[in-house]
Amino acid sequence: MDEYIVRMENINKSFAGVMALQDAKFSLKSGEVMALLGENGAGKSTLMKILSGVYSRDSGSMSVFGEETGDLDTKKAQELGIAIIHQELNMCRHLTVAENIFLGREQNKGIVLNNKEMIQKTSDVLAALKVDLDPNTVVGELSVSKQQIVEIAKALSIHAKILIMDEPTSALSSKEIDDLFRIIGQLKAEGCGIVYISHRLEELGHIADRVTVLRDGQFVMEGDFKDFTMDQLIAKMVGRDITDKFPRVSCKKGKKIFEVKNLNAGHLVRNINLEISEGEIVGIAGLMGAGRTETTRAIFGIEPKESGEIILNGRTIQINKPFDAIKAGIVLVPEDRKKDGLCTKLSVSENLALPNLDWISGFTGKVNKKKEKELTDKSILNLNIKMPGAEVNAENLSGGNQQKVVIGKWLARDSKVVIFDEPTRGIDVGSKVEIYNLINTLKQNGVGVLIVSSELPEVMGISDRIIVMCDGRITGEIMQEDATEDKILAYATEFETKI
Amino acid sequence: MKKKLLVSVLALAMLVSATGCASSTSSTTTAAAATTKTAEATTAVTTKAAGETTASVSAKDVSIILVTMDGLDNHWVNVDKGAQDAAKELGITYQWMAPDKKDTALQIEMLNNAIAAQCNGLIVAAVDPNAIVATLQSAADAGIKVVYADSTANFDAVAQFTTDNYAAAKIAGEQMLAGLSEKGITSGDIGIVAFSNATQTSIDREQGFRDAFTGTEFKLLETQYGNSEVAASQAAAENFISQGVVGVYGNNEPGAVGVGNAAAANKDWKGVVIGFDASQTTLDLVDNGSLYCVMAQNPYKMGYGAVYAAYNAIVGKDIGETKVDTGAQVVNKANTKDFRA
Amino acid sequence: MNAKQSNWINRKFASRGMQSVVSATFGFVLLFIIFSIMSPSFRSMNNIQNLFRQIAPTLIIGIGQGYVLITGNIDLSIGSVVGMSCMTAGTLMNRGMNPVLACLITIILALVVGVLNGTLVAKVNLPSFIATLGTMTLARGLAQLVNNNHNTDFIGNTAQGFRDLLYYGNFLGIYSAVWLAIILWIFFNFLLSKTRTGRHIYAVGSNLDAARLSGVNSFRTILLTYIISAFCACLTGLTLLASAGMGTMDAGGTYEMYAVAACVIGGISTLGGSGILPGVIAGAGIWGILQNGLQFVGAPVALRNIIIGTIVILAVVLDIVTRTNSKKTRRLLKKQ
Repeated sequence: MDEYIVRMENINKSFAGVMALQDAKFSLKSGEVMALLGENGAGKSTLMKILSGVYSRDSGSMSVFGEETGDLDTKKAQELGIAIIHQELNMCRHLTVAENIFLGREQNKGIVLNNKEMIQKTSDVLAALKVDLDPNTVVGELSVSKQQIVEIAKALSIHAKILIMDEPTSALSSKEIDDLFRIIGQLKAEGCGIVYISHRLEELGHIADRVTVLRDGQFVMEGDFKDFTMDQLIAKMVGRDITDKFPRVSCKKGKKIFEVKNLNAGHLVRNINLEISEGEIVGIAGLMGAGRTETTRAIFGIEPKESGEIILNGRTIQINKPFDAIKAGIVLVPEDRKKDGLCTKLSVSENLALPNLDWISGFTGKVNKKKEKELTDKSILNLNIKMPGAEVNAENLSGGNQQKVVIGKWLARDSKVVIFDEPTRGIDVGSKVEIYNLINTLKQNGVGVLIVSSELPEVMGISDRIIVMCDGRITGEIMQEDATEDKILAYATEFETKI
Repeated sequence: MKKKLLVSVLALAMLVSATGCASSTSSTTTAAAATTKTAEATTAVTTKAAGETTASVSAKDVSIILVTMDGLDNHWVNVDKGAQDAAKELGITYQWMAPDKKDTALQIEMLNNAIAAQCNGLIVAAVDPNAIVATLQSAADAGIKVVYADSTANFDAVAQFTTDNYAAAKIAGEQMLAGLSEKGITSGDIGIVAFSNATQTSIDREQGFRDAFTGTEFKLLETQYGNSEVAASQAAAENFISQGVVGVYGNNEPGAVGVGNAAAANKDWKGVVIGFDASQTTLDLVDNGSLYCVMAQNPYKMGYGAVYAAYNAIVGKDIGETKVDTGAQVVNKANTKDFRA
Repeated sequence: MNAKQSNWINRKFASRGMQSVVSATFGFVLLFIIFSIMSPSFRSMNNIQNLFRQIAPTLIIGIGQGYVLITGNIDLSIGSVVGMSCMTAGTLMNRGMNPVLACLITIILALVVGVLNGTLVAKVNLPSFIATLGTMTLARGLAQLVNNNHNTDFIGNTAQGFRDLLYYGNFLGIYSAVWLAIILWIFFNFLLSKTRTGRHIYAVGSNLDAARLSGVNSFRTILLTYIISAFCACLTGLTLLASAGMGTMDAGGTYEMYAVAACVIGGISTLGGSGILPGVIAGAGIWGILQNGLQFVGAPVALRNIIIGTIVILAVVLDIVTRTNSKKTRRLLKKQ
């Protein structure tokens, strides 16, 4: 029997005249992990959506388990044993974990739903992932990372033989990533073929057997992962050499511009004290659940705080709601850009204009269209935002470009402190560098920058000073020159000992 | 983009058809013809309307429009019937316009439509005595002759054909007292289910009824409103009966049906129920004893007389009696057969 | 009460949607007590029976509207289908047709409207507000057309049996219209909470794309909700016909809004994906008891609408507050 379980050849697909895939090629063997690499817009998602039945190809041949397939739909693809875990989490937020996992294939006892059985099977799948999650939890109440785990559990529960994972680890902690890799190993041993799409090139080394690279909708190359260096792969993806993954600019550290004193907001934000000076980027590292996002939200005024002083340029300011923070010049680029950072159904220019309406409208409140256009054009140019069209809805942009819009709307305001929460999650290598450059520009312009990130290489590469949090407290502070992964992890796991 | 266009076109089409449906519920199909005819005729008639009267205006050129409170109640259907017959006899163009429900704003719209159609005569049953005054003024300014049918407004019209609602209601009250004394009841609570707190007709029909009870031992409770819906009137009457009233009065046709049904459903209750308006259903309720009696108006006569009055005013003939009481009769078991269509 | 029993009760109360139902039911009981104290005739057996018979129609259309709301859509045509059904059945019965046959034909006609709604929304992809606005006008037009723009005659002459069954009928002290509402509720609650179809309805309302990608047939699901809504509206129209003894062309006017009110008070969100059918009972109950009770306590009619509106707002606010609080407490407890 052919060890190839998927063969795709000469695949062409276009959307409204725009060529998304041109003569693309792909193959997958049983029992292997195939890394699928490419920049945003390279066609990886499109190719996989064709494989999983979401789209149908314009032309080309596709065979699964040796059988030529015609046009697939999602149900047929599922029956063939193909499961896809989407990057954009596709959960029904009002339903429970068990209900989501069994959606579309609910098990009946007669004509009634067999809830007991489905809950049991869900528990089993979650146990195999060593995840502590109640199958009866409503998905909408889970964090982004937990929701992703549910998506993975769903695919696993239908015993897929071909598993497509689109950025599965972007919201997972390192412990959860280890668990996932362990399971992937299990599935490989059972003969599953796994397509792994990720921008986190460093981790692919632990898991990938072969690699396929796409660029601009076309096949570039395919081979064994161990035969290539990271830089070689990046060069193939981007079409040029990227020498500096984490560009740094050195600035003289100036005066203190931002200070947080005795911030308390619930169990995860306890007695937080930090300060940022001009010309310095402060990074906050820590495990999932350490309280980093909660701290940024407390500073920005989203969550009510029990106590704490915020001092900007020597003056204490009252922040009770985001409006107060924005007015003072403190802005937040949130963790979940689609939920908290953008109005997805509004256009790019409307999103850029939204927090800037105060200075682009006239006295009567009428929006000055010329100013709005200037703002939009300037942002698009400076940030290199790529979009299908001028007035397109924000939801139609790629992840990287969406993030640029979120950042762009604050940059237009001449902010004094910019807080980034997971600034490059789910963004390709090329766009990441662009965003790092942006952050560096802010640093050079004397803007205070605070970055929360779960990607240790990123935190160590970009920050000047790293604060580590664990379980709501700050447990350590390291200068960039002295930082190592081990030191940071040590601080990050310094839980309070229960007496 | 295309879908948005489709949606807006559909919405627009629906809006247009809805106003179309609402405005022309008459069974005559002269709508299109009428507007063109009146357009031609207006030039002939209006030049003469300013003070001059001439009998040489051809009947065919006269157009009269009836605007009632709504197009659904049996009562208006009968007004229209009378108007249609008069129009046929006179050989003039006639149209009935009414909205889907009793509503001041909707009626004003209808009146404006009628004015725009450049009719010569406008017969109206006013939903509210004050709200439409300005509109009627503009009708009169345009040379249109205004006649009231059933309900008047505070505006001087050419003539009115109404039931003296107050008098009719007083008789209804007296009937209830008679019925109660037949049963040996001399005191207790009485419930009133009225159809509106704004329409003059309803106000008169309530006041007349209440005045019949002055000096008696009966207490009239807070009026409940049935809004001309059978279901709501019926619920209000059921509640009155549960509260232990000895009599219930419904002051229009849906109200009468509602209170009659409520009485029928409470076989153990020994009270007196009276309604307004004779329709096939209310007559049946009278026959089976649920309703003690109803006050029958003469909507047919209202329509018939109003058309004639309007016509006479338009062509300059003598109108005759300008304030006509079309009368109300007591209909009980003895004479229901006279009122069946 | 042993541990297992109290655990079951806790679970039931903690189960989704139950909070709103509990608060709405509490509101109903409170109003009942207040009205009973203020007016002895309110609590007479006669009125209690009437009260539930007055609540029944709102409950029935609430079931239909609830199904549609949970999918994230709305059905504005309910009131007109009520009127259309009332008139159609009434006219047929006037002509001497067997009441059972008349009802069957009426139901089929209503189902056609339901299919039309479902197709416009789920296949042609019109926003449900606009699609059902159109069918609302259409159905009302049919109501006027079917008896040539007249209300029907008294159906008691030819169909007294129908009236006896549906309006006068009384079994174990409960009117048959109420039994009809109860039976319908039991069936549709079962369908919604215990079957695959019901699960799909919630999924479609929660996240249409996710549901589709998981293989749920969203067209069939949405179509079904509209058919159920039209069916419920039709049955309410028939109960109105039995109660009034005649068909009126304006029957059911604005009923779709009462149905929405009953659902929202009972915790069914207009955004879709949440709420359970027991909520509709509580919602319809509060709506009905207000209309009934305020008359007994002699509330001035002018104040009535204000009172009803205020209580409806309070019910919804109470629901949102208890929901947010419980979410916060649960999150806090999880973090410890």
